[in-house]
Amino acid sequence: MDKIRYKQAQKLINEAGKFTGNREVLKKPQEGIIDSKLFGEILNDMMDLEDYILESRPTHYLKKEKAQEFCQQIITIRGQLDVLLGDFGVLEKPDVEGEIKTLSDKYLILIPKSNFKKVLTKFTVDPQKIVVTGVPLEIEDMKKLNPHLPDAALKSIEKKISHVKNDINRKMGQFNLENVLVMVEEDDSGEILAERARELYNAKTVSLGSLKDLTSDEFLKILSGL
Amino acid sequence: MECQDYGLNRNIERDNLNLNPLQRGGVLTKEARKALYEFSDGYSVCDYCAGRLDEISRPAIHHFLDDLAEFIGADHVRTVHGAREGKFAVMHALCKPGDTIVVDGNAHYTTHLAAERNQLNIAEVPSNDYPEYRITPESFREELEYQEDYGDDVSLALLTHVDGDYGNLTDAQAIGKIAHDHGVPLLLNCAYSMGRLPVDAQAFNADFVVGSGHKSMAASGPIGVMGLKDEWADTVLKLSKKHAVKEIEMLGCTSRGAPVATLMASLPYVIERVKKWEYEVSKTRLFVDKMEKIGGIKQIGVKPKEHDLVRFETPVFDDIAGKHPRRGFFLYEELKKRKIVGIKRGQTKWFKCSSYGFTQEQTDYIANSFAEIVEKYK
Ligand SMILES: Cc1ncc(COP(=O)(O)O)c(C=O)c1O
Repeated sequence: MDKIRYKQAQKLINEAGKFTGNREVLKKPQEGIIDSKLFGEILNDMMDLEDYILESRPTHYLKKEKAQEFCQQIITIRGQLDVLLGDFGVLEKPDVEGEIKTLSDKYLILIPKSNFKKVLTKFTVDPQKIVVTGVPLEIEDMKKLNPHLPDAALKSIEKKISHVKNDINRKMGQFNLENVLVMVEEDDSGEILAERARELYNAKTVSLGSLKDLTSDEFLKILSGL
Repeated sequence: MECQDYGLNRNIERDNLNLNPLQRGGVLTKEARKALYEFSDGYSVCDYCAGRLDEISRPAIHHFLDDLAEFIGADHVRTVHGAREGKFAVMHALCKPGDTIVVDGNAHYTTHLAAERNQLNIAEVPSNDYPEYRITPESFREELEYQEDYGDDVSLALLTHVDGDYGNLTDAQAIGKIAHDHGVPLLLNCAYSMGRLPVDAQAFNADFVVGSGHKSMAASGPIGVMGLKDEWADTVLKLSKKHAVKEIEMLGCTSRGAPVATLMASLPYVIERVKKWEYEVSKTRLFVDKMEKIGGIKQIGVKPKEHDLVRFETPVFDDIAGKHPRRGFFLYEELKKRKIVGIKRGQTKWFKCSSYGFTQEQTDYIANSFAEIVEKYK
């Protein structure tokens, strides 16, 4: 699991590098209001970084994993600085929702719970391109998660699974989709669902600590990094 | 008038490993760095003050002092400007000019100055001889008994918990008990211990403890801590007749703004780091081992070390200095090349150092650098 996250972070960093490098055009500042709260946050975040300086004395050399952490924090700060500049028209404010709409359009997104669907649709993902699975994608997976389920319960779950799979196939055909993205939480059931979706649909997988806490900026970063 | 360039920049701590024991315990935590920025203006903690610094509720100085009192096992706590101001205040409240106080022979100069400013006489408890310089409970007892038999009444006994010359840790508990047996209150100077190792005034039989925020409690300072037993509160925290809420010995208010804010911000971290004191001691012992193995280097003071401050005698470096074109400066310069600072320029006969707060890797790097320098000039 850690490896997946590590790779994700690596990708995000690469993407973020490209993202600004290619598009950044600085315009003449216009009048505007300083976001003083954000200003304070930036200073605080910068001060956090001093620990890397102290711990790496005297060479200031960072091994790969520390370097990833350090750079990730700087990228966050850079994003915050862009927002400050955006308030004065120096940088165009990114159209996060528009970009999510464009980038998510080619995916059928599988999610385990319906409450996350609301989050995604708020980010402008087309609700028709989301499938809430609610159950694993194979009955064996259900048995792994809960070995003591009575037969009757298993029967109804089997039915639900076939329904979900039909739904997936129908939507892929209807919207002409070739890519499946599965988004899960970092727990056993999430891992099992992701694994099976990879196997059945060659799905891309994203696992997060908490799906419902995902922000639109983070989701955009994930989509751009896929 | 055009002011001169005051050279207000300091990269020493960022770019080098600073061995000066004075610098090791006062490095700010990141929480304190943020508090420093937040409370950098003059009277920044005073927006909601109703006349007493120790009772301010926003920021919650009153809760902070409660936590601090619990942390050091005292009934009451005040912040002061430094350990020295704490010592001065206690002496001033308890003693009259001409009184005698008993003080250990390894006491810091600020103890002597605080006594001098209060016009007190000092009866000194000698340490044992080279190379230990240990202060023993027995010698404390002898001095108190001597004063009882031949000297004056003793108003106060002052013990340096860990001294700044050898880094010797004294047996506060035993000495506190002896002082009490002689009816003398004990003031324990914890400038080099509070915030580094566990301090419990109650368990140590100390009537008063003082600590130093900028030396050992990850605060920017100047700030110190003064803790006391309840029975001394009326004497030391006496209120002014003219300004009814103000405490006289505190001159109304002590350390305000950034110093107290940084001490507050670091307290949770300091409480945690004290629990790892054993690790710091074992790291120090390992360091001493490595240094002595180089040859021509000897640790002075009590062995094995019980504190991170180490004093070394270094004839090996003094010999090199005798032949080196840069004389005594060579050691400072060789260390500087390796980004190690904190040993005074020109000093080669002996030095004090500490690796407190450094990682094992950084500490090994320091010991290896000393070995490398000796090797280079062998
Ligand atoms: C043993 C001892 N006591 C007191 C002090 C002074 O502390 P402060 O600066 O807080 O007054 C020092 C400082 O070097 C010290 O080593």
